Amino acid sequence: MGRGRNKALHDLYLEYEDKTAKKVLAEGIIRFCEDIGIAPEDVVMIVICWHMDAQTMGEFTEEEFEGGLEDIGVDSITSLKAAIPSLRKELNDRKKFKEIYEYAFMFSRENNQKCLQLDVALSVWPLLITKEKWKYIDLWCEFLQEHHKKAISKDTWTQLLDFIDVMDDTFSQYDPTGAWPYLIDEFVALVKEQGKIGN
Amino acid sequence: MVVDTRKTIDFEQGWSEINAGVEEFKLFLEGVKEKPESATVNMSLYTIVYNMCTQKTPNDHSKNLYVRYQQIFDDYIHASVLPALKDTHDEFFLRKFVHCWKNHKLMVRWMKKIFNYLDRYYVVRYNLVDLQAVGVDAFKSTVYEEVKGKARDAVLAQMEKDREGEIVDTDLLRDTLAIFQEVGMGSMEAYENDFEVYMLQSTQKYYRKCATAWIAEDTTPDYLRKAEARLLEEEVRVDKYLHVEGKSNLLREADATLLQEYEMRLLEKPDSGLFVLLSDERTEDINRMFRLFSRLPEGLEPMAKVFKAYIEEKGSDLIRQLDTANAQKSNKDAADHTFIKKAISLHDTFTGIVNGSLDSAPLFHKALREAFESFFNKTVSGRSVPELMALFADAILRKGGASKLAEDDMDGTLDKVVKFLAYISDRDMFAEFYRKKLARRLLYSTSCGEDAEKGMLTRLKQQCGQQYTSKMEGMVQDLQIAREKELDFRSWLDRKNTSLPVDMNVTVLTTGYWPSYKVLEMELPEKMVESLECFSKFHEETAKSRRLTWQLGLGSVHLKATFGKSYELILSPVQAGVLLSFDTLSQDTLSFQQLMDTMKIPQDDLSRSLHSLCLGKYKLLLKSTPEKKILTTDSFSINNKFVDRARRIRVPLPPVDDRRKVHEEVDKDRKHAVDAAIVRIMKSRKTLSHSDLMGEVITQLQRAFHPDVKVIKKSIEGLIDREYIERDSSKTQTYKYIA
Repeated sequence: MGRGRNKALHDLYLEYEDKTAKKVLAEGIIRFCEDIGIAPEDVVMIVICWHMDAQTMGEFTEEEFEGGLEDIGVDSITSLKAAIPSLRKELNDRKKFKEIYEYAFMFSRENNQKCLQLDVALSVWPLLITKEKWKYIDLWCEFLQEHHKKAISKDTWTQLLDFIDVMDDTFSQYDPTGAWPYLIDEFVALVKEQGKIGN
Repeated sequence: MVVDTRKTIDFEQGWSEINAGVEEFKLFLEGVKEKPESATVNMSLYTIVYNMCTQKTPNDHSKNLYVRYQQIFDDYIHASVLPALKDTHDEFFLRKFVHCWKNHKLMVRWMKKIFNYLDRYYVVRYNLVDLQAVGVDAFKSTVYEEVKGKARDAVLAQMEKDREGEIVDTDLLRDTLAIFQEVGMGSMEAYENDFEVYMLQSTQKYYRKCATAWIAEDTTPDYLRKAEARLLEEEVRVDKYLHVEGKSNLLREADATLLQEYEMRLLEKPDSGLFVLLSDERTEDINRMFRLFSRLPEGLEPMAKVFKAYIEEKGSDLIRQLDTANAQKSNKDAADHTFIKKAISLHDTFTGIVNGSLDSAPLFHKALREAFESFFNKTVSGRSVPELMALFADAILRKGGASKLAEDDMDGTLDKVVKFLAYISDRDMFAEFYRKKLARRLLYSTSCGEDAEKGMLTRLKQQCGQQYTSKMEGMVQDLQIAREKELDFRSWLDRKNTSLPVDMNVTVLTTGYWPSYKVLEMELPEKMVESLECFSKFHEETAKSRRLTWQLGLGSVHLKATFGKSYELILSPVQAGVLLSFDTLSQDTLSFQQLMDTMKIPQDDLSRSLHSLCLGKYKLLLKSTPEKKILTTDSFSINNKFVDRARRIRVPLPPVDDRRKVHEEVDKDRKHAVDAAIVRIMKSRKTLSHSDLMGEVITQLQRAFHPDVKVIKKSIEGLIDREYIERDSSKTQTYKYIA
């Protein structure tokens, strides 16, 4: 059982636990989301998982579930519901966002794989990196779909955030002889060539 | 103390005596008197001065004498000299001017002697200007200042006449210019400011006029010839009458106006510029151009650039010619050695020009090198230059090849081919092609000799380093060892009292050295299999630790066949297998499928061999359909009507296109080389910035090839993924080695 965790939390966990697997599975998660009033694909879900440090998408262990809610500082559905807005705000905190973003890579890939499958990456990326954060996110996803068609490495994932942080809208400062990953080089070259800057 | 018993000399009295002497001297200067005063007179005058200066105050007349000394000059100049010069011009003026100065110098010298005592004591004591200087200055501040402009213009006018080829009095000019120098009394200021500056200007103006006229009308060589002549003249002129130290200034001015201004135009003149001179091999004109442009600061750089452009154009022309010729040829795969041959002769020609007409200047050697580098990295009819070089070398090193291609200078030609390696960046490509060809030569005994092969490898080693040739040397060595092994095998057979059912020679190769060959599995006739197993047993006993793999795709089989008369056929194992199948199965006709089933080899290999046996030069088999290719539905029969003049026939297989395979292998090797280099560098340096790492990798690998920046980047990312290196979290343009 949890280490001196409060009973309310544990009871909450039991509500969603799948009795045979002894964890919260997909069915439980869907109910969980319904109860707190968010869609399962809502990006705030990733924030919650990050608090839980959930290792696998689609399931929560007891430790993860209870520890996560404790980390958020809630122990009931109501209080969690109320905390949703502030959880969303965490995405705007620069330092936290970086952690959440990097966590998302690890969390989204399959357990035994080093790289993230492209289709999964393409669904997670727009959630975290909204158009407000980076105007080229759609272009980036389009580019990958058409030209790359392979899995995404961790390096590319993490470097993309750096790229967004540092680079201006016209890519004027971009140095292709620098240490940016190869994919990003290609992306910039293609965008410049197609004149889509500023779009 | 000496008691002075002389009578005190009163100033005016003494002065009148001195003055009388001066007047006498003046008469001498005017030419009225023939000789100057005698020594005795001079002596007495000197003594008067001496006495007047050594008298006790207030009779010490030093000061007055000093003043009067100067005044004598002034009076004389104003009275006689200036008027004499006033209304004269040009040459007459110059003569008078020179004459006046000569006289003045005499006067100063004479007066100095007389007044010498002043110089020794009075001047020194009161730190005054010495008598010589006073005398010269008297002339300078009056005559010189007044007429220097006139003198200068007159001299310049004479110079222009001189340049136009008219006769001038050079001594007069020299003497005149000497005045400008001498009035400086040690400093060249007067000469420089009052003459030289103007002279340089007029020189510029003059030559600008000439150049403008010439450049419009003359060809480049003619222009240069004229320019050279003029420049030589100027040097002579300096020696004759200009001041030696100003020589470089003058020449620089002339060079700049005549040559520098027009250098590019001269180089690029359409019908007579450097391109034309080179193609017409006008060595003397080229040499003159070189000599003249060497005079300019950085004057040779433009010339070298044009030279390089010319060579590049010639190279591109050559490639274009060959591309067109090859497009029209029917057998496009036949190796064309024309390119390398012509490239060699082109290179020889240009090296000759550099060494002959261009003074072996390093700048031009560099231009030659860079030009060749640029067009050597193009392709000729689809083949890269490294491949062509390997094919060329192969042709020479094959039996009978040297005489055709190298024209009896095999060593010299091979030397040149190896030197060409310095011009290509894909040196590893050449190595791979060469290695493949070398293997074929060694295995099929088509080499013209082991010494020649070794010689070539030595050359390659010298040019590219030991590592480059290590595999190839291993190959040659393997053959030597194989021969020894053969002998061992024979004696082993003797000892075991066995003999081979089918006689054979085995060559054992070390896998790492030789190009990789696809292992061909096939069913051989029983007797052949027995022989092979015999050798395998021998190998087991002697070298168990090394695994033996039979390469049935290589090697040759000698088959005795009777088509009417008997022939000895030299075939590949597959070809032999095909023919023998007819024997073993006792069939006259066999279908493609039957052959495949009997021999159990892949379809492509069977097709190739069948092609060589019925559609090649020697039609040993007949095929059922008329198409010029092997169909899987075909059947084959022995051609009983086969006849050939020769008894011993080698039936060649159609050549496999190595090229793509070689490119693939080289690419693969390069990726590994890049990975290995990155790991090696990071291991030793621990932390390195991105640009530094790039630089290091390129430096380390450049002897073999030029790694593409993108390839290196991909390699880096791959290594990050595989966790050999990582990005430094605080400085993302830097990598760290993960131990």
